[in-house]
Amino acid sequence: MVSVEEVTKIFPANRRSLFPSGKAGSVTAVDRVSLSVADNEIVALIGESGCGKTTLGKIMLGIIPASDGKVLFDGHRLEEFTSSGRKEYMDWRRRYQMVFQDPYSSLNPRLTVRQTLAEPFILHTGLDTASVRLKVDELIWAVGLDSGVDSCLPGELSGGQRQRVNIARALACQPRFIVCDEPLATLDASVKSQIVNLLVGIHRQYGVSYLFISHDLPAARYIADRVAVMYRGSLVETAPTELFFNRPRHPYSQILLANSHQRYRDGRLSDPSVPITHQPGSTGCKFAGQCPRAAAVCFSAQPLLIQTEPDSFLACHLPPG
Amino acid sequence: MNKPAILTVENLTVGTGDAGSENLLDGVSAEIFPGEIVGLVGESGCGKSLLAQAVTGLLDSPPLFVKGGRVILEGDDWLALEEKEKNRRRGRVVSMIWQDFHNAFNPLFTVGSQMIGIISHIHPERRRMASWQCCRLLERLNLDRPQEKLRQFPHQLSGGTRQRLAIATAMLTEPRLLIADEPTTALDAGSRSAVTAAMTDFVRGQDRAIVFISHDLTMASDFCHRIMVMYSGKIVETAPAGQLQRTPLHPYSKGLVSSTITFESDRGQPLSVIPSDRTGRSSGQPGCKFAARCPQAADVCRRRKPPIVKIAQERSVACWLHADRELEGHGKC
Repeated sequence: MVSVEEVTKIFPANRRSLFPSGKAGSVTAVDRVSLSVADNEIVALIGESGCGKTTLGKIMLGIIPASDGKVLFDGHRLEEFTSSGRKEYMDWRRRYQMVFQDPYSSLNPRLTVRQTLAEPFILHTGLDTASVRLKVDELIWAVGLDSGVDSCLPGELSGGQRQRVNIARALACQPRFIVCDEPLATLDASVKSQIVNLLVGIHRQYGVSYLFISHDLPAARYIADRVAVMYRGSLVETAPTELFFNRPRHPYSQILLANSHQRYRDGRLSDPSVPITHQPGSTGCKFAGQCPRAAAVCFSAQPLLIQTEPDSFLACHLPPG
Repeated sequence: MNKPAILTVENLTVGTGDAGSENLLDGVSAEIFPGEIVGLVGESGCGKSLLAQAVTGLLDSPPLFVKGGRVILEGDDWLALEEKEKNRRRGRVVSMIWQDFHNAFNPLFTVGSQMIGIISHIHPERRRMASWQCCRLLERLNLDRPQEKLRQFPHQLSGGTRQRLAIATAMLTEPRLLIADEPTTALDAGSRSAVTAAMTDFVRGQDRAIVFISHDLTMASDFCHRIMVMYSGKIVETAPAGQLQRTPLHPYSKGLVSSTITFESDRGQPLSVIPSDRTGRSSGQPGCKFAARCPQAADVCRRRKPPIVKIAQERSVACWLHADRELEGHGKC
């Protein structure tokens, strides 16, 4: 349904900045990534912070433009929607939504919950005030919020409540695809489970697809049909959830999983997040510097994402046997 | 435990001055012994940070103030001490890692100058080696090129880096009691375990203790020795970490444990959750604060405050369900 082909995003270094950072050159946040999400599918995108997960999610929704590559919606290019008339654009935008990472800054602090949730209906439908009211009540109920919160401002809500308002807003006008960017990161255990149940329920009931961005691996395993692992802007592995959690193939995926399973007490983790400076323009696998299995070929040529099993893709020169 | 407790909190009650408003901390009692890491867990807003602030005497007062109870820190009645005396003990006796690490450093000075300033203020004899100590600890906390980082200003550093700098500062003052309020929120898995490992070493074989405040029960149980579960301004259960995960007693702790998503969660089943209180009945009622959300609540729970039942040496629970399991000779209601 939604796919990106060979997209790259380069953020240029701002040379006219008031405080020049001293770092010359630009940052490649996403590097030739191809990924698709099918109808009625939940794909989890995992990886350490700063690896480009959010950027990829935003590119998939056309929120930020890709520097290179194609973004396709049912085979149609993104540009067809953005450059066509307002009606077509709005109709497209209605179906592709995002739940932003930060539940604090993604709500307008001066709008009440009711006003925030009424906005999508006013923008996308021609409903009259009374029907909008009913629809908003329905939404508030669907995400499990108290009916009393509708007159609250975001500042009066807890993190979990705000996150639910965010989700309700994305669900308002029957979307087909939602990018959920770390929707669980700031939540308590019980609220987290509530939100996951909510997302799964909506998926089952309405067939909404998700790109579920997270570094919470147990939650990703619970919710997703397929897992995509990202490392420093590149996809290194995609596989069906069960297969991935039973038998991760890429060395980075293996370390990521081992870390997540490991107990905190002994504190001897092989840490994949040590910043190794990958020279832009240098060839070779980005993970080679930390890979326990790296050989000469890993430092000289970047591995491509190739199909290893019917639904699995792997970018590694020396995949384990 | 044979050694005397570093910190004893007795019946601590904190609230606002308004008549009729509920107390935010409601009769909290706890003891922290040398050599242990105690996890304080509970949902956001349950009063975890407030307890830390009350214990260090850094309560936002007014509007909040201590209404009753005692805090005994290393034998001193902390609440009766003069502010000057408290300041003399802060850093040496008790240090705090603040949850809000963004504002932990002055934006106008380099982080290094601030860290070294604090350490040498508390331990003047260490002035010359403070910088070296900072670098060594920061390396242990998984921070790359610490020397470079120390020369930078707070705004030049990432959230994760700042958080680790704040942790290092508090640890290097070498207090007897370190209170760490959600110290790993901005860290990824690798750095997080580096921090927990450093904390484990901090108390090992020393006359020190750590109170580790977190909303993540899994993480807290993995490296703390003892867990205190807090709900709505009260400590509802205290237990050794492993026991709490295996056999939680209080219905709220049970809810916390069973709602945690794990690698074993059944993908076909909805996750279990603690029912939310949609009636708003919990406020103002005389009994147990959890009663409105509790699946096992009985009539007595709504009418009377539950007793604190001591089940075993290191185990207590504040719940009517366990009222008949009192360990002999430890009656305390």
